[in-house]
Amino acid sequence: MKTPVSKILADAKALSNGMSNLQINTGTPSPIHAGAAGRRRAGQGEDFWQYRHYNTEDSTSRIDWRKSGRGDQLYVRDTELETSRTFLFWSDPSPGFDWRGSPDTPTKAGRALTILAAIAFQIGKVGNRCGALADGRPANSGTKAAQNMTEDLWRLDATTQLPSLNKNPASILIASDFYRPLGEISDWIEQLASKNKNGFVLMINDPIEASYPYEGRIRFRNPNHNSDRLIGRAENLKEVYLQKFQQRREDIKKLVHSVGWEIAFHQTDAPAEPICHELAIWLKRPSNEAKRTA
Amino acid sequence: MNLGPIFFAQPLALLGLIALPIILWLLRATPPEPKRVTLPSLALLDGEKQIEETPDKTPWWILALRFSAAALAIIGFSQPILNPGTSQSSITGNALVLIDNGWESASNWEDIKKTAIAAADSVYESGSEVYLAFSSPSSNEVNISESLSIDAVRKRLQSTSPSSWQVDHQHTLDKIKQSNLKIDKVIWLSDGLSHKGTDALIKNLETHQNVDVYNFAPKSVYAISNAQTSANGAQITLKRIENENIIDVRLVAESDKGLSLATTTVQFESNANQAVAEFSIPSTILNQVARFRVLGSQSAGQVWLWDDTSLMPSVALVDPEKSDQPLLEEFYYVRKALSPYAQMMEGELDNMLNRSPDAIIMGDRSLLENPYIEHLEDWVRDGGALIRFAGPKISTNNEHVLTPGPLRPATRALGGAMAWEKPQSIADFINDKGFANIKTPAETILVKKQILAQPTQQLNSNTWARLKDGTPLVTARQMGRGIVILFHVTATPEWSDLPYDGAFIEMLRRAAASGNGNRAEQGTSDGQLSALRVLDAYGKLTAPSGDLEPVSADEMATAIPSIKTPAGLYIGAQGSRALNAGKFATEKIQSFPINAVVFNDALSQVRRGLAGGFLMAALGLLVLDLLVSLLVSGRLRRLSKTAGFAAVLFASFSFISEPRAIAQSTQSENLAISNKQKEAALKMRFAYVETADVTLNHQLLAGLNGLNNELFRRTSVEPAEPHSIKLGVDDLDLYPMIYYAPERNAQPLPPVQIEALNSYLRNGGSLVIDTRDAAPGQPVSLRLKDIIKGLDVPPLQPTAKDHVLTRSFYLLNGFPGRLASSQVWIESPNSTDENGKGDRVSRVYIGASDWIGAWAVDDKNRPFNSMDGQETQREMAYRFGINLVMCILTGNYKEDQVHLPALLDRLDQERSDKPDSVSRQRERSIFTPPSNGEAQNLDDFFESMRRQRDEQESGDQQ
Repeated sequence: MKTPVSKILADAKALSNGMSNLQINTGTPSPIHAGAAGRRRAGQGEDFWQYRHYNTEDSTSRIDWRKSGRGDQLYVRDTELETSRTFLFWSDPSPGFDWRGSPDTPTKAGRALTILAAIAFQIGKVGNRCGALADGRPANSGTKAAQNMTEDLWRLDATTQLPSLNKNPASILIASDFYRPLGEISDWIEQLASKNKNGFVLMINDPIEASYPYEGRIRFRNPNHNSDRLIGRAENLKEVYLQKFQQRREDIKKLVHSVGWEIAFHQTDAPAEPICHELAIWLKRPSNEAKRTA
Repeated sequence: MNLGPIFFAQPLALLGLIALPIILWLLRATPPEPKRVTLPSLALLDGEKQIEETPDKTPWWILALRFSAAALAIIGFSQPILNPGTSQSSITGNALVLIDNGWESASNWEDIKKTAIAAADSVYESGSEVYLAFSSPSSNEVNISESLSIDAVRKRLQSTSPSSWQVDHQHTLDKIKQSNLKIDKVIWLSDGLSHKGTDALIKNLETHQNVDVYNFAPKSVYAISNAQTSANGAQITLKRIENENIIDVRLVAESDKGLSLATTTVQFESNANQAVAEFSIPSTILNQVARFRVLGSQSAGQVWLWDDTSLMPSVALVDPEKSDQPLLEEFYYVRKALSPYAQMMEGELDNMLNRSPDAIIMGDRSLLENPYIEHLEDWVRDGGALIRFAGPKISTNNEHVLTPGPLRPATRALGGAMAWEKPQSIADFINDKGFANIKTPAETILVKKQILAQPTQQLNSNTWARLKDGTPLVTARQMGRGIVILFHVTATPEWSDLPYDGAFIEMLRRAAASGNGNRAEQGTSDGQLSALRVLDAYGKLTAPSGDLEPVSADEMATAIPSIKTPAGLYIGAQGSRALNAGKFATEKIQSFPINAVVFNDALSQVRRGLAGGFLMAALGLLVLDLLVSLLVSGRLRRLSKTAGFAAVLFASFSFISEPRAIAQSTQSENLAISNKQKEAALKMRFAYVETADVTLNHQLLAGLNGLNNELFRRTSVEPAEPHSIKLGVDDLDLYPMIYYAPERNAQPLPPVQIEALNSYLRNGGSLVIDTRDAAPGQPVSLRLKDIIKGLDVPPLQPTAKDHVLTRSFYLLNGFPGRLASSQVWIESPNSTDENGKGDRVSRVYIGASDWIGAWAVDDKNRPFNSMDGQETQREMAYRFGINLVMCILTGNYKEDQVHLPALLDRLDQERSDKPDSVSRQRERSIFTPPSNGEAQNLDDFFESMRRQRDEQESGDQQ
C-alpha cells in the first residue's frame, strides 16, 4: 500500500514549483567542508577562477610561480569561491508510518516523502547537496540528486530500526511520527545533533491519530509490532490517549529545542504548502555546519 | 387445546416456550464481535491499564427483542385460533348439525368443516347426542338418525366433499321428518343462498326452539350465470351477493388444454349483484375458447363451459360484389347479421372452398358452367350448408343445380301498379323445421318480389318458411350430410323487407349453424349424450365416474345439475353440450328463521388471523434485530460498502455483457429502439435510400430539404429533417414516403433489401422511384428492371391527365423535374381494391425526371442545380412534389367526391372553349376512377417500354 514513488515525485515537483525560489543562506563558508557549487566569485575552492596581481596583503605563499615566472609581474591565483551545504534527509520507514486512517488522506510516509522531496528539489537547484540519511548513494548536488534521495528513502525496507549516524556533518531533515519509546528517540536525536549542528524535525500524524474517534469494543492492531490489543470500552481511554498524544508532542518539541534544532508539526489532512514555507524559512536562516564547540 | 377463547391447533409447539430461558441465557452469554481497527499510535497507550475491561453485555433491549421474537414464533407455530365460542346459548338436549354442501360451499369448505366440528364438540361435551345431515343429495347418504361420536363426526366430515350440484332442502326436510328424531337444537351451516325447498325448511326450523345459523354466504362473485357471443367476442354475466363494496373481478378465457387465451376485468358497482364482462376476442380465437373462469375460481359455479352450440360457425361469403354505396351492397345485411355470431370470410368460390367453411353464402349467382360446381357439391355432401339467395340471375337460368328444388323461370312480383296482389307478409315459421321457434316477423315486413318453386312432392317437406299466402320463402334440401338452403328473395332489401327484420339474423344464424353436423338445434334432436368431463365442486374438470348413465337429448335440454347429471361437458351425435352449474345459481336467502341466532362469516375471518400475525410479528422483530446487530457491530457500514462494491461489480458485468446484448438486439429488432427510429416515429419525415454514391446522397438530402422548405412555406405539411436509410438495416415502416434514386451504375438490390421494400409497400408505405435519366420518348430506363427485380410492384399505368396527382394541391399538366419527362407511372387504381391496402392510393411512383435534382437546395436555400434557364420548370417540379406529398399523406381524401365539384367547376372554366367534352368528363370523374392506360404488371410495363423504345429508335432511324 506504499504510495508509488512516481506519485510522490510528481507531487513533490508540483509542490516545489509552487514555492518561490529558495534562497539558502549558506552562512560563513566552512574550511572543512568545501562543496562543489561555485559562487561565481573568488574565494576558497578548487576550481580556477582568475589570476590577479599580487597585493602586499597577500601571503607570499599564494604567489603562483608558474604564471609569475613568465613575466615581471607577480600573480596570485584565485580559485572560485565554493560554498555548499549538505542536507541529509530521513523519513521513518516503519510500517506504522506508512499508514493512513482513511482513504481520503495520504499516508504519513507519502506526505513526508513528498515534502522532503520538494525541499530537496529546491536545494538541489541552487547547487547544494542532498542525500538520504541511510546507506545508499552519497549526497550529491544537481537536479537528479533530489530524485535519488527520494528513491533511496522510498526503497528502505520496512523496519523500526533507526539509521546510523552520518560521517560528515550536514544539515539533517527527519520526518517521523515519533511513536517509538521516548528514550530511544532522545538518544538518537542527541547523537545526531552532536554531530550536526542544524537539524529540522517534521512530526507528522494522521487526523485519526489526533482525534481517536473510537467507541465500544475494539480490537486494536499496532502495525509496528503486529500485535493486537482488545479494548472493551475504547471511549474510556480517549481522554488518556489524547493527553498522551499531546504529551508526546511536547516531549519531542522539548527534546528538539534542547539540541538546538527546529521542529514543525504536520497533519496529513492539512495542505503541504505551509509546512514547506516553514522549512524554507528555516533554510534561509544563517547556519554553520561546523561542529559545535561545547 | 383450548385456552380461554384461544384454540391451539398445534399445542405441542408450545413446548418450545420451555426452551425460552435457555435461549435467553445463550443470548446473554455472547458478546458482540469487536471491531477491528489499526492504529499506529496505539504505542502511546502501551503503559496504560485498561480502565473497564468488563465484558460488554448485549443491551437489554436487544435481548428483549430477540426474546419476544422467539416467543412470538413459538406461539405462531402452535397455530392459535381465536374461537369465539360455538354458541352462546346453553345447549340442552340433542342437536342436529345440518350442513349445506352444494358447490356454493366449496370456497368456504374448510371453515365449514371446522365450524361443524367445533359445534359438534360443544354439543358432545354437554353430554347430548349429535346428529349430522348434509343437504346435498348424494349416492351414499348418511343415516340421519344415527347418533355420532365426535370422532365419527370428524371422519364423516373428512370424507364428505361438496357436490357439483346444488343442495336440495326439500329432500333434506323430508329426511328429517321421516327420521322422527327428537331434536332440541338445530345447527345449520348454510351457504346463504336460497335453494329448492329452503322456504319450507326455514318454516320448519321456526318451529324448533333452538336454532343456530352459521351463514357462509359467498363473499365475492360466486357464479358465472351466463355467457354468450357478442359483436366483439363474448359477454359473461357474473353474480354475487350484493353488498356496498366495489370489487374488480378478473375473468380468463381458457382453451381446451387450459391455455389462457384472453382475460378481462369487470367491476361490480356498489350494491349490484350482477355484472356483465365483455371479452373482446377475435372470432378465430373465440372458436378455441373451451371455458371461462373467474381467476382463482374455487367452485363449480365460477367456471362456464363453452359448448359447440356456442361456437361460431365459419361462414364464407362468395364473390362479394363491391359497390360504392355500401348500403346497396349485396352482402351488407348478411354481413351485419352474421358477423357477431360467425367467423366471416370473403372471396372467390375456389378460395373459400379450400378453407372449408361450415357454411357458404352465395348471392344471386348462376352456378351453371361454374368450374367449381363439383367441388361445391362434394363440399355440401360432406356436411356443408350452402345458403343461396334468389335474384334475377338465378331465375333466368332455369337451372336447378344446387337448389332445394326446381324453380320457376319467372319471378313473382307482388304489388305495384299493374298487379292485383298485395305484397305479402311472412307466416309463422314451421315448427318442426330449421326455423322453429324464431319469432315471426312483424306484419309490416313485406315481400314484394320472390321467385317461385316448381310444385313438387318434396316441396312441402322442404319448405322452412312461407309467406302468408303459403308460397315458400325459404326451402331447404338435404344433400348427403349437408344441406342446401334457398332464400327465395334477394339478400338486399330490393325484393323484400326481410333483411330489415330481427328474424333475418336468427334465420341466417340457424342456417349457418346447420353446416358440418352442427345443424341440430337444441330441443329438436334426439339421441343420447354422455358425460365427457364433469366439474367437481371446486371447479376442476375431471373424468366422469363410470356409473353415470347417458342422458337423452330431450332430458339434456331441461336438465339442471344433479346427481344424475352433474355439471360438465356432455357429448353426443350433435356435438357437445355443456351443463353449467353457474347458470342455475340462486339468490341469497332473504330472511333466516326468526328464532335463529345467526352468525355471519366473521367467524372464519377471526380464525385465520392469529398464526400468521404472530409469525409476521416474529419475522419483523428478527429483521429489526438483524439490522440492529449489524449496526452495533459496525458491520452495517461495511455491508453497505460491500453492497456498493457488489453493485459496481454487477454494473460492470452488465456493462461487459452489453456488446452481446447489442448483438442480440440486432437479431431481434424489437429489443432496442434506436434514436433514429425514435426520431422517425415522433416526427413525420421523409427518407431517401442511401446509395453507394456519396455526391448523389448529398443531392438526395438536399433535394428532400428543398421540398421540405417549400412544403413549410406553402402548405401545412411540416416534415422534419429527412433521414437517409439503408435498406434492410433501418426500419422503413416509420416513413410515409421513401425516395429511391438509384445511381447510374446501380447493382441489383440484394434480396434482403427487396424484401424490406416489399414489406414496406405491403404495410402501406409509398415508394417514389426516380431513375433521373429521362430521355425523350423513354419515360423510365430499362435498367430499373434489373435493379428492383423481385419488387412486388402492383400493375402500373401512366398517370392519367385527370388523376388526383394532377390536382391534389396544384393543378398540373405535367410532372417535370430537372429533366422534362412528364410521365409518372403509378399503380393502376383497379388493382388496389383487392385487399384494401393503400386505400386506392398508389403505393409506387416511378419516374425519370430527376425531381430531386430540381428540388435540391444548399444550406443557404439556394438552388443546387441549374435548370438550364427554365426556372418555371423548377417551380413546376416543386408543385409536383407538393402534389405528390399531398397524395401520399392524405390518401383518398383528395379523391373524395365531396371535393370534386369545386375542382370540376374550375375544370369547366378551363375547358369552357371545349364545351362538348365537359359533361363526359364530369361523369367519368365521379363514377369510375379514370384510367387512360391499361393496367399492367411490372413485366408488361417493362415490355411495353421496351417496345416503345424500339419504336422510337426505328422512328429515329427513318
